[in-house]
Amino acid sequence: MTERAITFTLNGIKQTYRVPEDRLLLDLLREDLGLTGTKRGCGNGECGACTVIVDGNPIVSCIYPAVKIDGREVMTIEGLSKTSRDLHPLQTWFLKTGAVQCGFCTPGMLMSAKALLDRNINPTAEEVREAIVGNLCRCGAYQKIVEAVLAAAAELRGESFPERSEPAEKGAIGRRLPKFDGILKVTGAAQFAADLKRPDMLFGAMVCSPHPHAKILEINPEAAFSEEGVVAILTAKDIPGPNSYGVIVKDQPFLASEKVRYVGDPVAIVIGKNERIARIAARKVIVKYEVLPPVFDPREAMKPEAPKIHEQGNILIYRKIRKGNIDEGFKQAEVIVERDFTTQTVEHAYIEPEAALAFWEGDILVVQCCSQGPHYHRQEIARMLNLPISKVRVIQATTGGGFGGKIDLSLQHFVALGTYMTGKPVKMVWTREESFRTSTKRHAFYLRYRFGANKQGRLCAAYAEIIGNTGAYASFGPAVITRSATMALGPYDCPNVHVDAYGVYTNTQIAGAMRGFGAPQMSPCHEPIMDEIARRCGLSPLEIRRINMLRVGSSTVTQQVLTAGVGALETLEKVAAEIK
Amino acid sequence: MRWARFQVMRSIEETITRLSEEQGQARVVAGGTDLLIQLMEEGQEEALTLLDISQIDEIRGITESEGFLLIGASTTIAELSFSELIWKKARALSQGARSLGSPQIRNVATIGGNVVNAQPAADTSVPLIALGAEAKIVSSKGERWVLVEDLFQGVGISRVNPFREVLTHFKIKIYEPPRRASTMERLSKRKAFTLPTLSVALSVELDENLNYFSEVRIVVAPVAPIPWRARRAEEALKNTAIIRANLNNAATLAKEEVHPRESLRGGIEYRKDMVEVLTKRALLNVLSLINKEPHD
Repeated sequence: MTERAITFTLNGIKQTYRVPEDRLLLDLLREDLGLTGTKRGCGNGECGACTVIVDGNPIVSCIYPAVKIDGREVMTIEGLSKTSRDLHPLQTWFLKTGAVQCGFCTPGMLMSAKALLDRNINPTAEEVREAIVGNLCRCGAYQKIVEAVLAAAAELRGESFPERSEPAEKGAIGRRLPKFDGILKVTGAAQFAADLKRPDMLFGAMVCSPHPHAKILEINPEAAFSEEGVVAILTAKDIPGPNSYGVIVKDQPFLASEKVRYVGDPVAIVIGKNERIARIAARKVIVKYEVLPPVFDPREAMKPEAPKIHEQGNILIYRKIRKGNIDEGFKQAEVIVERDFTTQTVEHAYIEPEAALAFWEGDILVVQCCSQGPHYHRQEIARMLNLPISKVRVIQATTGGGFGGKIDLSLQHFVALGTYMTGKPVKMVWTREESFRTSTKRHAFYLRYRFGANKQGRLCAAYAEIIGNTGAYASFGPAVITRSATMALGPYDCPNVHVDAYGVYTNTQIAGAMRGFGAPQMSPCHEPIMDEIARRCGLSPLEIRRINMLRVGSSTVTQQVLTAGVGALETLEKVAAEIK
Repeated sequence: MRWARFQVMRSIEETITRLSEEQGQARVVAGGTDLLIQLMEEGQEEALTLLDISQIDEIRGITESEGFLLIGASTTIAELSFSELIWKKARALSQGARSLGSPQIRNVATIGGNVVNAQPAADTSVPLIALGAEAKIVSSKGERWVLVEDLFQGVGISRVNPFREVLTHFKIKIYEPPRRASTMERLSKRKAFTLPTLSVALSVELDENLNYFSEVRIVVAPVAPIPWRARRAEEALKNTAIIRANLNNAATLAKEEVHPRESLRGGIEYRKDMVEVLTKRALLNVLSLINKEPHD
């Protein structure tokens, strides 16, 4: 690979550097110069997390050749303030307004904002929004980011900006306090798992199934080993402990051994001297499959003649709720509304793709990783390696969004196995495509709803059938389906209820936890049905809800009698007052 | 390596020389915002030399002379979108440029690259064709001027061969009131940073007395593998008076002559309906730019 010397000014300092001609600017910054404040969120120039400023213009550095900065001026997040005690107004306002959440999009946002203010010191809110159009935030901080940029612009113009009022009483309760790690995030110093490194570190890359359903006949690593710098190729047979894990049901292999159940199911891990070598070698591992008939629709997968995805059958869970007498309820009904609904699979799309680093510290295996809870990861890793739990330590690195998608194991066990087998630190960072394919999703549902009410709009019967697509493995399936069943009626009170909810395996992406956890899928069903009942009874959408909302003394679908703290009606009235 | 060499060119002459020397092992790149992603897809390793023409001064910038605009192919989309000259005299192109990608992409992507990438609904290609633009192609065999419209062979397939030739400039007749104007309508699922469900760009020229259309060009995309000229609609308006019924009729003809396919961004029926809606809207907008109210 040909190298070239380039001379550029970086954060005010002129320097010369020899760089391979196929280097991307993002990797020059992060890997060669150790400036990890600029992040890789997608590798495609679409998310903006890698935004830096070149000659005053914001660009996405993940698709920008490093040699192009020859003779130019570059600013990264590390150059926005001289020290972390002497922050740029953009940084202080990001902290004040709560614009910093997970912090992963923050450096890119600050760069786009800085470039805007350098060009236009008095932007309108619309102009700020346009300037950050190429910066995605999944934590939902956009409003606060716009507020912060407008406030910083005002400060830079020498004007004041109306700050929100603080509560009169003393103390911290009710006060807006900056996040404890906020300064680290706005200066790009926060260490996310992909930012970590250790001496002698190796890199792991996955070999995943290209088939939705297949038997593994043979895994041949020979061609991959011919690649120079390959240290180890790990498969299920390298796992010391049991090859199964799962948050509720342990139906998922750490590495697939007999068969694969979805496109993206991990089959082998290649450990190499660096990421490039590991990934090239991973593509050279030859896996022989016997393709099996797949099933993608949970309604098909429920049928007895459907291909069996798991030995115990395709229905992971069946939850039923019975209250009162549903037949009597419908007999009394003067208005009946029946509808079928579908909801879709949803991807969490946290801006930080999964990343982890494992290493030995004495005789303790340490894993630093993105995570929503290190305790669970620790238990499973200890089980996998047949180590006592006291010999495994999991440290949650600053995590760039999770929303339920980083509770399960994703790659923590791969790096742990890698370190266990090689003795060296092993790092793995997923590409956005790997994250899309292999990580968990929100369950898609097929729903059939049938509500009955009397002519005054009072519900007397509620029936729901829910068929949830839980994908290839269980993950949080049983709990999500349970939640969907108990939330089938949302906030409404009904004396006669019949709910059947199924979680069904299919050869599609694993469905797991995602914010709301089975509840968000239900509102798009019960709400339009209530509106339709209202219409047929000559009532307003507000009135039908006043009549049927749960309140103190109501009995829920599971027949729990509510005794206190039921704020639904009060909330409704507050909204009603607001919209008048 | 994703590519073997990345060399910054200083002139078109140097580029042509290098292309000849490498005999198919080297190709032209400008901003690279599409090409580099394609090359990095699923980690291919290419023994390819990339010749960067984005910094060649002779093919950057926008100038006006004798009723024409000359645009260097390495002018960035951002430069196009900020240009007063383009806003005033080739408005549809300004509108297209402003809706392309994100600010970060616009700062790097170039108009030449956008055309050679040959996507049918590319945000500069659609208005360029509506403006009747020509492109200058230079190779070791010499130079030629070609209608931008004739550079599209299929989805992602350009008639410009970046392994042998360089698109260096665009030439556009000025479209400015009182007699000429252009506009672009774009429908997409989100307000920004989204590929279009449908784009319609059109240009009109009126006769000297400003009574009727002497020429109309209507471009619709993506409704075919290449940008689509709605010729039946154009013919129906040519040499006709500016009356509402004619505009509506043309919009309907445009809808009837397209055959879009089903895709992520829109179904067939919806796209066809929107061809009529956007064409109508674009016609009314372009007339308002000339301060011309259609008669009833």
